[in-house]
Amino acid sequence: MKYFLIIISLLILVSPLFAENTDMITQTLDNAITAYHNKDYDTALSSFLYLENNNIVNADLYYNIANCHFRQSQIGKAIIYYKKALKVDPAHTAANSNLKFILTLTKDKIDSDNNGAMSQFLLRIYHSFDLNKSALFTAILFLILILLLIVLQSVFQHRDKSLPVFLIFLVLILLVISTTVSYLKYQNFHSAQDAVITSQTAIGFSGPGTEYTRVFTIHEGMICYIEETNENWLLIKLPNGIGGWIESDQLEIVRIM
Amino acid sequence: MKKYVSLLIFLFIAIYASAADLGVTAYVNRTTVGINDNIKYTIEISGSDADKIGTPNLPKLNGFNNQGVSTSSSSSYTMVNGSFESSVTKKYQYSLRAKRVGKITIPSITIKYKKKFYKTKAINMNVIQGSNEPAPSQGKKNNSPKSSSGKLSDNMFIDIDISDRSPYQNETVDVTYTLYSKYDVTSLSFNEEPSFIGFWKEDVFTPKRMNVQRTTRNGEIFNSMKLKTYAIFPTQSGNISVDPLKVDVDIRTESRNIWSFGNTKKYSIASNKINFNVKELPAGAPTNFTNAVGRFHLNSSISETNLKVGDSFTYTLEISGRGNISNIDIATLPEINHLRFLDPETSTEINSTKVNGKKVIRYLVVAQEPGNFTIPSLSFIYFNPDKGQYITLRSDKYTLDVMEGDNIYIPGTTSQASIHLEGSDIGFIIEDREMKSFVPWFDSILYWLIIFLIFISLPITSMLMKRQTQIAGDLNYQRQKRANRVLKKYLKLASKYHKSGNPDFYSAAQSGLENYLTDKLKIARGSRKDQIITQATHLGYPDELVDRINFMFNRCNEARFMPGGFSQENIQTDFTGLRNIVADLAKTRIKGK
Repeated sequence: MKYFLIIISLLILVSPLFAENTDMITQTLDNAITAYHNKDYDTALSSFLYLENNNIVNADLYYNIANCHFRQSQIGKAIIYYKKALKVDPAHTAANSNLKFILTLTKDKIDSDNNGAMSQFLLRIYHSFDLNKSALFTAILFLILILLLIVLQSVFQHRDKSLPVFLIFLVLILLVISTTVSYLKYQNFHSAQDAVITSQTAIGFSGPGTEYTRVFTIHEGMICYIEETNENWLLIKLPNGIGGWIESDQLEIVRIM
Repeated sequence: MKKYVSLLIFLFIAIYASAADLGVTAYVNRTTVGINDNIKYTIEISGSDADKIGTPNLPKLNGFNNQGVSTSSSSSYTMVNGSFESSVTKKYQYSLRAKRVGKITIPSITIKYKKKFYKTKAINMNVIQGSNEPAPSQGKKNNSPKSSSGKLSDNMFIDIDISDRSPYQNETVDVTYTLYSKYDVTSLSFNEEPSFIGFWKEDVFTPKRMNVQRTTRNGEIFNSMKLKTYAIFPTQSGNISVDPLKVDVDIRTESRNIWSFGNTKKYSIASNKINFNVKELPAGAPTNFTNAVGRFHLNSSISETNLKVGDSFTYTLEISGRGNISNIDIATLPEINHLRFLDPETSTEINSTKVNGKKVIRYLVVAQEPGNFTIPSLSFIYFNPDKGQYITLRSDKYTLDVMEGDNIYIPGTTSQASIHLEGSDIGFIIEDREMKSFVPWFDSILYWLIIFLIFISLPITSMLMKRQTQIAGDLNYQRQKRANRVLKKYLKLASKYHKSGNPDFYSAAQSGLENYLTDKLKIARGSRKDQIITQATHLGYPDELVDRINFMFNRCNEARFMPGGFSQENIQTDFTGLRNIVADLAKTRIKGK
C-alpha cells in the first residue's frame, strides 16, 4: 500500500510536465489543417512549426511538417522531417512511404544497402516498434525476472529448481536483447548524426576549407552521416562510403528538439 | 635413264611401329643394274614382334637367280611418355642376279603374321648390258652433293600438290608445298611466299620447326619436309598463275676428315609456277545463294522446347564441311513476336590437318510471353563442285511451348533507369487533433522509479519471507501474540453475559483470564490457578494486580459452585473489576523475555 501511494504521488508530481495546453494545441492544429486544405502551405507550416517549437514531439506532427515542406518543393527539409517522424515512430507507414517516394525525386540516386534476407528481416522487426514499446518490454521482462527469482526463493526452496532456473535464463537472455535494442533506439533517438543536404548543390572537399580539392558534388535531399565537426565545417560520409568536408549551412541535422 | 641411279631404295620404313603392328618394306640397292651385277634385295621387317617371324619365303623370281640370304637384326629401345618400347628391325638381304637384259619386275611379297597380311611393293628393275656397279670410292659418299649424281634439281626440289587445277570460282583448292632432298637439310628459311593474286587465301599449315621425314618418291628415298599448305579460293574466273615459293636451305656436306663434322652449304630453291584455269559457276543460281562452294552439312539444334516465361534457350545452327566456310553467310532468323533473340554468337573452326571446318551460329533466345511458337526452317544454298549443281539444305523446324512462369521478363535496356513514378504523390497530412508529445520513457523519472521498485521488491520480499519463517519457528511468540486475541474474545463474551445478567459471565471471565495468562506467562494450558499466580508473581506482576487476579479467580470459582448466588449488582461490580484487571495487564510488561 505504501509503495502505491508513493508511486501515485510521484505520478501526480511528474504529470504537469507532460500536460500541455490541449486547448491551444487543438486550436493551432485546426488552423494548420484548414490552411493545408486551402493550399496555404505557408500558414500551415508556420502553425505546425509553432507546435514543434512548443516542445511537442510527435511523429504525426513531423509528418505534417514534412508534407508542407514538400508542397513548397523543399525536398531536403521534407526528408529531414520524414526522418524525424520515423525517429519517433519507426513504424509510421505514411512517413515511410512518403520518404521512399520523395527519395526517387532527388538528383543523386541513393543506393540503399542490399542486406541479406536475414538482416532485412531483423531490421524490419527492429523498426516495427518504437522506443517506448521497447522500454515497456524491457520493464515487463525485468518484472518477470524478479517475480521468477522470488518464486524460486519461496516456492522452489526445497524442490527441483531446473524449470525456474531455465525460465530465468530465458528471461535473462530476452532481457539482455531488449535492453540492447532499447539502448540502440535511445541512442538513435537522441543522436544528431544523420543529416540531409538542404542547399541546391553542395561540394565536398578533402579538408575543412574551400582551398582543399573537391571530392564530390551532391544535391538537395542527399542523406549523409556526420562524422566530425570542425568549426563550421562538417566531415560527412555518404551512403556509398565516400567522405568529404562540407560547410555546415548546406545541410541540416536530423535531430529531435 | 641416268648413268647413276640412286644407290639405295627404301620403300617404306615404319617409324612408329606399334607393338602389334609390323612394318614390312622391300628395297633394292639399285634399280638399274648390269647383267652381271649383284642385286641386293632387302626385306626389312620392323616392330616389336619382328623377331618372331622366320625368314620370308621368296617366291619364284622370274629373271633372277637367288644366290643366298643373309640376316641382320638391330634393336632400339625408346621411352615414349614414360612407357618403354622396344623395336626390333630385322633385315633379310637376298643376293640376286639378273638372267636377262630388259625391264624385270621383282614382285610384291606377302608376309602373314597373326592373321594379318603385310605386303611389300613391287620393284621395277632395269637390267642393262655390262656392269653398272659404281666405283667403290663413290659408293660410300652417297650423302654428299658433290659426289652424288648430276644436277641439283634431281636431288633437291619442291613438289607442289594441288587438289584441283581447274576449280570453280570460290571452290576450295588445297596447295601443299613439300621439299624433297637427298641431302641432310639442317635449316630452312622462306625467301618468298606466293602472293596468290586472284585468290582468297588461308594458311592451313606452316611448320613450326624442322621436321624432316624419310619418304620414298618414285621408288627412291628422300628427306622430305612439308613446307606450306594453303587453302585458296579463286575469286575470279579465267587463267590465273601463281608465283613460285622460294626457300633457302642449308645442307650439311661430308666431312673431309674425322676431326671435323663437316660444313654447311646454302642453296636457294624455288618451286614451279602454278597455272590455274578457274571455271565460272554455272548459271541459274538460286536467289539466296551466297557464294558457298564446297560440300556442306547443315545441323540445327535447340536446347529446350518446353519453357516458362523468362527462360532462355539456345538455338544453334552448324554448317560443317569442306569449302569457303569462313566467308559464307547464313540467312538470319526472322523476328518472332514475344521471342527475343540476342545477337548471335558465331564461331568458325578450321581444321588444320584437313582443309575443312565448321561455322556455328548460336542464338540465345528469351521467351517473353506464353504461347506456342515456331522457329521456321532456314535454308542454306551451296554449289557442289563435284556434282556441278546447286544444292539447298534446310534446317529443322522447331515448335516451342512457352508457359506462364514465375519470372517476369523485363525488357533489357542498355542502362538501367530508376523506375519512373507517374501520377503518384505523397500521402495526405494526418488530421489528428490530439497530438500527444512523445517522451522517451528512458528520460522520465517514473520509468526508472518503477524499475527501481521492481528491483528492490526482491530484497524486500526476501526479508519479509525470512521474518515469516522466523515467526513460524517461534511458538511462544505466537502464543503471546495470540493471548491478547483470546482475552478479547472472552471479554466480549463476558460483557455480553454481563449485560443480560447471566451468571455464565463468571465462567467466560475465568476462561479468558486463564487462557490469557497461560499464554502470556508461557506455561502449559490448563495449569492450576496456584501455578498461574506463582508464575505471575515470579515474572514481576505487581502484587496488588496479582491479588486482584486471585480475587477474581476466587469469585469465579464461587460463582461456579453456587449458581444463582450472585445478584445483578455483583456481576456489575465484578465486570468492572475484570475490566480494570485487563487494562492493567495490558499496561504491565513482564520480564524474563
